[in-house]
Amino acid sequence: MIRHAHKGDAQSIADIYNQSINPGVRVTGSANKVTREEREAWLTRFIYPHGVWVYESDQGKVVAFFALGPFAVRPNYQGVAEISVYVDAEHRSRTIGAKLLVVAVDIARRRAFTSMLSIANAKNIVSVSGCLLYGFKIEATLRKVCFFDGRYDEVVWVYKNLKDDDPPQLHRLRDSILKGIEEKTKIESLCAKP
Amino acid sequence: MNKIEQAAPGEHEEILRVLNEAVIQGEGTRGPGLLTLDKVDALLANVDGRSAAYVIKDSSDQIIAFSWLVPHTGRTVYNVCCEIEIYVSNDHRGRGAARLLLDHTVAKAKELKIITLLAYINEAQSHALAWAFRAGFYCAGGLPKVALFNGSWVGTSIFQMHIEGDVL
Repeated sequence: MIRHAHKGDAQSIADIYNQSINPGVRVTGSANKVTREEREAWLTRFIYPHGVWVYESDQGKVVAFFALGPFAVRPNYQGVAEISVYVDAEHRSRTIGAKLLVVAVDIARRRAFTSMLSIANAKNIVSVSGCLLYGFKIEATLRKVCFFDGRYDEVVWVYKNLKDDDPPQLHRLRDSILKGIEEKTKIESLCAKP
Repeated sequence: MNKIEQAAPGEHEEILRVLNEAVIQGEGTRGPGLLTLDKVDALLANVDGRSAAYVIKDSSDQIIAFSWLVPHTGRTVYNVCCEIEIYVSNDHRGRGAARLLLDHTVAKAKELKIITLLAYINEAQSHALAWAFRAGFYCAGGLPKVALFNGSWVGTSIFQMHIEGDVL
């Protein structure tokens, strides 16, 4: 089930986020682990139309989350939603990330964002290819801008225009990915202001 | 051309004046709304020692151009790169102020062990795009039609310069 995140999710969000800082896992962001208190403060910084959502397993455990935040590089570009998706290591490769991405695009569209952007380490193949599969395009490749695990890495900006409707094949992909979670999650309620 | 000076905190208001002159003209990537002094103070707060601002003044001690170096997003993995921005007041363009500021700011970046500079340029500003290319930046990409300026969707180009070697 997907639902709006709240303060009580801060520990789970911190735990999942911190897995991404482990050696060999290449994401952009902080090189330092975060605490529950930091994530509590982080959650309060998302003001509508931005937000954070979590994915609960059937056992009621938070195993993934995603955020639609301001474009960190230029927060004045208010039409851009910067997306980040994190999935607990034990629950990867089960299409949770794909589901969250599809739901995030739906939410962003209904909240009147005009584009979405994922800023990802170029070696984060799963993240980048997942976005490409869902109609995002690599619009920029920044070389030697981040230092991770003792080496310089490339960062790619993966961008989706939300002003235009998706082609039919992406509608079909959306429908197939959302099948099965729509009965558990009321997408409409996720788009509404919490 | 007058000499370059490091901007003093008390000069942020004048920097803001030059910056907002550009914003009003639809230039730069900080608009479309006018910036406030708080925003400039925050950008140049130099929290982790990687911000710097330089100014050029005219004979009456008014700032006619400035450049700044600011951390890219503040995320720690980006500690090796900074954003650079250069603004020159309308009446003083085409006289080499931008180039002087660029050289000075790049030297400062090297001192700070920065290896990559990023410049975000409004795609409608063909002069700025051409200037950046001539100055040694290359285009790493851009975001198409990403910002609404004066009722038109405008893209932003991302330029990079690697300064650890002999690029300059």
